[in-house]
Amino acid sequence: MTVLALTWQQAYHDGGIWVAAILTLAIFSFLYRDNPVYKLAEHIFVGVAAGYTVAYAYWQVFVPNLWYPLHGLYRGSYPGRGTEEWWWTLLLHVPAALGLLFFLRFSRRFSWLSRWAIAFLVGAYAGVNLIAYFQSDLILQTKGTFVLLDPARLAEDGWYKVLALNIPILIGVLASLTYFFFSKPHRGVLGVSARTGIFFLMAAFGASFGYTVMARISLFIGRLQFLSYDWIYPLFDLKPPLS
Amino acid sequence: MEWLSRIDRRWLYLVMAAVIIVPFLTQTTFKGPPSQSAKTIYHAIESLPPGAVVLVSADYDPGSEAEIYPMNVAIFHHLAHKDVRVICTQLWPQGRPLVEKALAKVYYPAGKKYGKDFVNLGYKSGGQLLINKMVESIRAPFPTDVFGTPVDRIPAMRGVESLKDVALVISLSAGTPGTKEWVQQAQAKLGFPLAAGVTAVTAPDIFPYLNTGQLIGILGGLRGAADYETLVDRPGRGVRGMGPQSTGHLLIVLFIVLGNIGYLLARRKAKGGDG
Repeated sequence: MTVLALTWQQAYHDGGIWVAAILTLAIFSFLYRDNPVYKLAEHIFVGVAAGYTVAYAYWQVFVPNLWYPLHGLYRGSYPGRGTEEWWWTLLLHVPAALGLLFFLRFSRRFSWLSRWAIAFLVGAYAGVNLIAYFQSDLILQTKGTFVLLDPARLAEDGWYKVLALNIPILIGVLASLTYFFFSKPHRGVLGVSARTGIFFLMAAFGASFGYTVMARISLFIGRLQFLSYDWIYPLFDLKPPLS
Repeated sequence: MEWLSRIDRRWLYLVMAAVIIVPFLTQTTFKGPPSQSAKTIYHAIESLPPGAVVLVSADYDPGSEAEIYPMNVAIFHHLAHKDVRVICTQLWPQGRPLVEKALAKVYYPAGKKYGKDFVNLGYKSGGQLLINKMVESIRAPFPTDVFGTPVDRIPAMRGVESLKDVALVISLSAGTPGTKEWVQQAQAKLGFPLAAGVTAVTAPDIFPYLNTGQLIGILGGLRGAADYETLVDRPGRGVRGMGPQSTGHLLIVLFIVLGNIGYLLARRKAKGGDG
């Protein structure tokens, strides 16, 4: 039985590799032209990804966080009535009700009620993010543009290094901000600053583009590594160059 | 040079494929020194005291496996070499199988024991709200590990109540929720050392946090993975990918130069025609 089980496990693994390899080639076929094989692979991907996420969210989020606690509450198997934990579990009816309101989008008559749940989500996320964003991005990022001018610290850290690194950041931030200042025409000093800002923005876009190119090539290399090391090499009993 | 603007894009794809496949098959590699950022992360892990707790948040999926997974493996090699406890969490549902694959590749062969040396708490939804909650308590959102074992019974979780008890957080992130949310929701509040391994696409958005010291280091894309593999002396898919990656970049540079020459010549010709 062990041999049979191992064989099945191996077949399951190898079958998965074959399916992934064929789907990878099907997706690559789009580079030549759009075709039904590509379309099929694309649809399979969307369906599988959606199904996986829904099933995973159901078992990992809904069941342990809502279903089990409420089920325990009604069966009386939950901690004693009136305890703090009991009250918190009782409070789960609120998110459960809000979650159910989402399904009212399917009803023409009551779909407006789903906005309550959306409003709660938007409000909660805005509240949580506002403070965090203010603290981590606005204050600390602004602080990051300050140029250190304490002579003692400058001498300690190497003034040329500090100035060479910080002054371009300071000029870049100020110039880029003036580019997005639309209350006055971009003429004179404001015009020079705004044009300088364009150079900094272009440099940022260039860096972003460079990284995007790197990412796309990396993904192609990743697929090549999969096709060779996981599919072709074992097929011909070759040893991959990597462990 | 007008022919440049009339080339069928499929020829460009073919040339690009050839330029990447040839060094891949010949296993050409270009060795470069690891970045300062990668070295900082390496030294941060090296300086961890025995028994310290490291939280690895694997917030990526198979779509970014090519870039992040090699980093994950290299970092696990380093952590397994140190006598530290590792707690894994995931903000992305599809991150769990990838973390389990990396753990199976590194931790079990290294003789490390699940529950004692490392634990996987799995995926929880909520994104930034979850991170926000972990600032106060890790046990509330994660009462059990992926096998359903209560965290109170897991030795690796002993003395770990919240993120305040974690010596280092490593965010392996492919987008949102990920490194940015870790910075905003937890690091800004507690100030703990936070290292990031991110996809190349998201790296430019994350770099400002390095300048302000909110991140101790960033591994960006496959190059970041190669850097860390070099540092831990475990060359893997990152290092192997640097040859094709470099030739691919050179070709793109060539395309950009040729494209611009073609554009300038076409513009000059149009101006000449007007005159």
